[in-house]
Amino acid sequence: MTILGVTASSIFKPTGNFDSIATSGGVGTNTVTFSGIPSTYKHLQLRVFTNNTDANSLTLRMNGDSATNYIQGQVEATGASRTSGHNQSGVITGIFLASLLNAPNFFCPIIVDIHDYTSTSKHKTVRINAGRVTTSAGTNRVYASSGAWLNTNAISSLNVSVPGANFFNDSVFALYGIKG
Amino acid sequence: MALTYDSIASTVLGSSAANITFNSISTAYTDLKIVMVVRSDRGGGATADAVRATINGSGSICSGAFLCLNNTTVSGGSYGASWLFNSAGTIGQSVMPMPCATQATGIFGLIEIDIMNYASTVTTKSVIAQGSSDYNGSGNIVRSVHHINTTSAITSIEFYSAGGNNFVAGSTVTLYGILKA
Repeated sequence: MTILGVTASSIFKPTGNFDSIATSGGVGTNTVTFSGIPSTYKHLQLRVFTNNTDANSLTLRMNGDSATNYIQGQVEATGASRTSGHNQSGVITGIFLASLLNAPNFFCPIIVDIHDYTSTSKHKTVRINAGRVTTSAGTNRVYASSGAWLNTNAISSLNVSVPGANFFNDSVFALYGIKG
Repeated sequence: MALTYDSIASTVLGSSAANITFNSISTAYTDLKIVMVVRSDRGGGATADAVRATINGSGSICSGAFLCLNNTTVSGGSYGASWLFNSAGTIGQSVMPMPCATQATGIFGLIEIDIMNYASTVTTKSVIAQGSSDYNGSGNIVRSVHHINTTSAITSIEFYSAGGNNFVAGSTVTLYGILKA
């Protein structure tokens, strides 16, 4: 499902410094793309509320790039157990957001901040706060990570996808622009 | 019409108070964001107090997981069927610490809470929360995620000290609404 930034937000006129660019419910799909992102903001924030019936990783890509042009470091807590790690360039094909889980009526909260997304001289650094909570403490997760897309092009599209089953009904994928 | 990022209500305490409450929260938004700059009057040489909250008057519908740095110790854990941030009146059970009277005057803790899809009458609710406090040689960092087990819209949130102490004068809590297209 591709959401054109201008069309999806046509009912909203930019009114302030924090604007809703576009929104998708991810209905009947396992991928959501925000394309035609306007270059009139300074930063982007992506707010996601979702899950699906497969225990797979939710991944973020920029400008349709599915090559190994991403890096990421992460701290993860699973109950009392903590893990950390980092992926250098040439390894991952997107930014990991969260590991989804088939837990009916539980939705993973994810907030992604992308600063200076229109810069043509900087790689694009992202900050992710995310997690999942279910009825079983052993499957709870807290994710705190940062990553980057190693490309100095301005970001004009964002894709969020998960292999396998579609997103839960009543999911929310909302993209916001922040002026600087 | 509601704005995309709207200040719904704000409380700045002119004197100490046992709780900070938001009632009759508008359901016109998609998410709620709560920004807290708080401190408690807990004394007795304690290193910190903590925050907990009821949702729609309930202290038993929240569960969560957390990652915490307390001074130089990293810890993590989960809780279930409790207040937001846990605690049945026990400071040590809350995942969200805040500074108290032991800390130097003027030191307040920062807590940021995002409640996703709070107004839905179809889904339960998910929360991301962060806490930061520095005491000049010690402190806390918290990253946490929580589940609110209700399909009712959230219309009230009440914050308390986990140990039954008071928020001090100058404590600030602001409630924002975020509206998607």
